[in-house]
Amino acid sequence: MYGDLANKLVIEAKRTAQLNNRGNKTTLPVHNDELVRDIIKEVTQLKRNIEFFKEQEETMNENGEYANSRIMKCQHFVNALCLERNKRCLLGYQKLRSDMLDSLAWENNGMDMLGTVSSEENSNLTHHEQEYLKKYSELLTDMKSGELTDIDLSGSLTPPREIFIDVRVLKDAGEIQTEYGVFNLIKDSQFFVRQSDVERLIQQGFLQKI
Amino acid sequence: MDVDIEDILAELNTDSTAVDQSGNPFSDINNNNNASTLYNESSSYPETNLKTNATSTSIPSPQQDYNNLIILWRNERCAPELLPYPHNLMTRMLSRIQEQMERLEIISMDFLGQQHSTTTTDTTGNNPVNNNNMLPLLCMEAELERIKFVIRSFIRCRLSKIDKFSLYLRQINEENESISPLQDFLSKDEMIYYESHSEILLKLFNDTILKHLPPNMQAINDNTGTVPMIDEPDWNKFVFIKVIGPQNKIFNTDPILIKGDNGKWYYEVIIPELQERVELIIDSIYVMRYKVIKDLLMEGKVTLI
Repeated sequence: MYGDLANKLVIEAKRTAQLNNRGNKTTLPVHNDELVRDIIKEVTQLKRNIEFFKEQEETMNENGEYANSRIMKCQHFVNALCLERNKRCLLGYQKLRSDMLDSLAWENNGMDMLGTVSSEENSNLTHHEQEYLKKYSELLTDMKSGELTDIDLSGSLTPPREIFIDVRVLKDAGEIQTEYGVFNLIKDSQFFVRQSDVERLIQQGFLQKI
Repeated sequence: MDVDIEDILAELNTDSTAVDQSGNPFSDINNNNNASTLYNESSSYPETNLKTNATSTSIPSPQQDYNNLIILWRNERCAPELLPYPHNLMTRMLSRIQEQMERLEIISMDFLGQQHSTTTTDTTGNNPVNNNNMLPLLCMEAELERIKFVIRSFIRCRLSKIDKFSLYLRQINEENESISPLQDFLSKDEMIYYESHSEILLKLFNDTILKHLPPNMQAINDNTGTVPMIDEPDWNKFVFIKVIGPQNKIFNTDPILIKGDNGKWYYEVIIPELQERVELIIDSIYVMRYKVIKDLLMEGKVTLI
């Protein structure tokens, strides 16, 4: 039945959204290329149907078969609705994915997106989505380097409680330079450092706040 | 540089003490072309100016700016639509943050030097008196972090709204370009963000979906179909409001303010669905649909909470 495929796509998108709401880490499933292509095929079919019905309707009108013409009109209308619905479903699916890409770009702080993401996740993205992600990350970097540099837009969105926090090192990260000296980040060691200095390292998963 | 604890505390006071001198937070928007009102110095700002500050054209004090920023931040977070960007206020805030950061750097460098000199003369190293001196510095840093957080949250909130309503913003921009140009609504950076983001998003949609559809279905902002494609802000959202009243607290000067029988001043709004008149008494709190109080909010006579 027309619209079934699109329904499948929407259900898939919904599942992805729910999964992401539950966990706090954004994971993007593989782009369902096949399904999208099938839906687009269906759309072309629908388009052809509509044209056909329109023709029929006109010839019937000319021949004076008004009852049949009304049936054609109804079929025409149903097909047009299916077409519109398919379009909305496709766009909705793509919008959800692009929104997730956006949040991915924010979370990863614009740092070499392509370097870290390409290995695991890039296979899940289509070529166009990769391009989009790259452009968006660039845009974010531009935004942050404007007059809002001091604010650090991608910083934590929970209100700061203290300036100095205890952190535990989860991964070896080498030396970092802060205002209060040099820290050598060795795994499992603990430091009492300024939050704004290590914000980025926490986001990247090198440090854990305790 | 010689740093006295009194100095630091005094600076702390000028920046964080909340004196309720709240002017109209949106008054800033009206005169944003007037570069001379821009205020650049924060440290030597005389306290006496507070009293002469009743008119909106004079320079607001740091306290006022801070209070206004908090009000605007709260409004932005609660309102369903994108509110105008406070150009002047933000410029002042950002330049003050910059100054404060520089000042903090100088002071902390001074402390480090002191620490260094004490460790060389005093072998115990960790001098408790020294740590006590650090306290005001820590307070100032904490305060700075908090202000940065508020601004960050404010901007991020605006950006998410820009993303959400990008099509709607374009629509209103095309419809009445002369009345409210988008450039006044958004900051320069936000404008760039808005334009490039909608551009790359449209390109993504075009490449993946739209170009495969029949030509008459390719529009992204088609409102003629069964369901409109442009998301509008939810004008019927319920919001909590607090009625502030005119900014100078002189009730006679506000034409729409009405004095009730019991001597209380109130604004009158009409809820269209119920055909009901509601009195919004000054200093009270109400729950209302957003569209009912939108105009009052824009004039700064109510705030969202």
